Amino acid sequence: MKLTPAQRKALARDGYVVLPGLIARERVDAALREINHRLGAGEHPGKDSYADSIDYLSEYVTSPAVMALMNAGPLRALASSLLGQNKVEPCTQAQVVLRFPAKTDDAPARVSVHIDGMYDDVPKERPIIRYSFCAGVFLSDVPRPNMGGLVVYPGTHVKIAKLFKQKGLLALKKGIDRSMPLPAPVQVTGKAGDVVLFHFQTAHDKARNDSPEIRYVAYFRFWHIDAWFDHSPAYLEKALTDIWLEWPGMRGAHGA
Amino acid sequence: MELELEQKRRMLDDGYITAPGLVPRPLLDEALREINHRLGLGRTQAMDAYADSRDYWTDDTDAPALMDLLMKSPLWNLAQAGVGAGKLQLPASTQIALRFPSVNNSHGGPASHIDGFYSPNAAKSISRFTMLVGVMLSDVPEKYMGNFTAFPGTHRTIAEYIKANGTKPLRAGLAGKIDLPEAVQLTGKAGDAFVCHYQLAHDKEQNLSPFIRYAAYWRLWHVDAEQRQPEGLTDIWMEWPAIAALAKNGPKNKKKK
Repeated sequence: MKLTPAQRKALARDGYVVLPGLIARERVDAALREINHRLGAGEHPGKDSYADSIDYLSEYVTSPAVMALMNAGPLRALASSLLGQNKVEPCTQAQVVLRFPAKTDDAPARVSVHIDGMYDDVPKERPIIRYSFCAGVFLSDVPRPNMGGLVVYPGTHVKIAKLFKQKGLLALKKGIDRSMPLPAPVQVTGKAGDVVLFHFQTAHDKARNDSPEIRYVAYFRFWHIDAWFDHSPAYLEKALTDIWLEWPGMRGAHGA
Repeated sequence: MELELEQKRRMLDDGYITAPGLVPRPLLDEALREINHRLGLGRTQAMDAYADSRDYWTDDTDAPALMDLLMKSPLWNLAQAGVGAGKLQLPASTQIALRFPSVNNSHGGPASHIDGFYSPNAAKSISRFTMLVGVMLSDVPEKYMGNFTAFPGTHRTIAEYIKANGTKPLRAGLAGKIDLPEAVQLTGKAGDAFVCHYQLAHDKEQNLSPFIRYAAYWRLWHVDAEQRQPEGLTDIWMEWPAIAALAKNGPKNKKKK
């Protein structure tokens, strides 16, 4: 499984790409069955403490039905094609994210554009816990905006790298929207079984869900083994400013 | 609204009727939005003590988005059609009934029942109402998707049993006392509705699909139901003049096959 030239070009330019129909319906159904069963049981032992509740449920899951979305489909091979054979740290958990319908009288969703891994309590020498890329498997159809889908800011992977280069790794400490001009956001749409793949450094957010349906997605985060094992400030700076460092599969696609 | 002859026959013989596409999409969407928003809040609402947890969640609510399914669609008129306009008490709440996917195929077999026989107060008085009305809020195209399951004709056989034996034996369940016909798992689309006679044995089927089965139910009382509690268990069309007239004329012999 490899990206097409057009998909590589889109990923290089925008920092994300949507891959239609990548995951088979029966895999999606098996994962949904388990996720909806958990919802009925009200048991969420892996609940993400960052989840802002009410309309958002984020949970780290290792169950076979959910992990099969990655293990039994083309995602692993895709990761190897991008990061290099034997260069991908095994992905051992999924983040299952449910976005529930907002009520019409709820306050508008606050903008919380971010890149992952920027926590308040991290040491100064490792201010960002980064990985290489994230792959989100749509488990429900998101045919239009404002259905609780992923929001991306195209091209910010490149702009953020430049900012880090100019101002250092604490350049985003006040928040991305306060640190740099942002392009128009794109709400990613797609069907169950589609995959949205985005570079770690692509700024993103989640949209409010004004639909009647629950939005289901499973995110898998992939680490290049160097990112996994090398926690040195030098490597961190290098990878955050040379954004395709870990991506041999993107050579020739990004004009670097 | 009047019931068509075939609807009356079905109610008389089977104890329930179905009405495809009765509730329009905008009302369904508002109800689903309310329910799914509640799901996001967690299982903190007033849960039905009878819910067998894990894969079944009920919640009684007076939320307008749920009540509108009945009151702002043709369903209210359909419900009244069998008993007469103005002869039903206005319901105070809607039962949200969600059936979640099972992951272990652990269904313990049919658990057919009629409502109101198993509460702690049932020994003193059975809380008989007139009809159960339901609307599917999600598509249920196949069996074993958490379907509402009916046992056709049991409204009549249960009445005969009560006439001969009283209600006490049934408080331990219908099994062994009532010969159950083959169960019918209702299938359909979101917006399809059904009306069941109170005394129709029913059940909820296991959900082996990946999806949550969403439904809303109302238990509706004839305006005189409180005054006629025990009689209505054996004179099952007492509150249904439209069906009683047909019963009197011996419809079974005239029924089209």
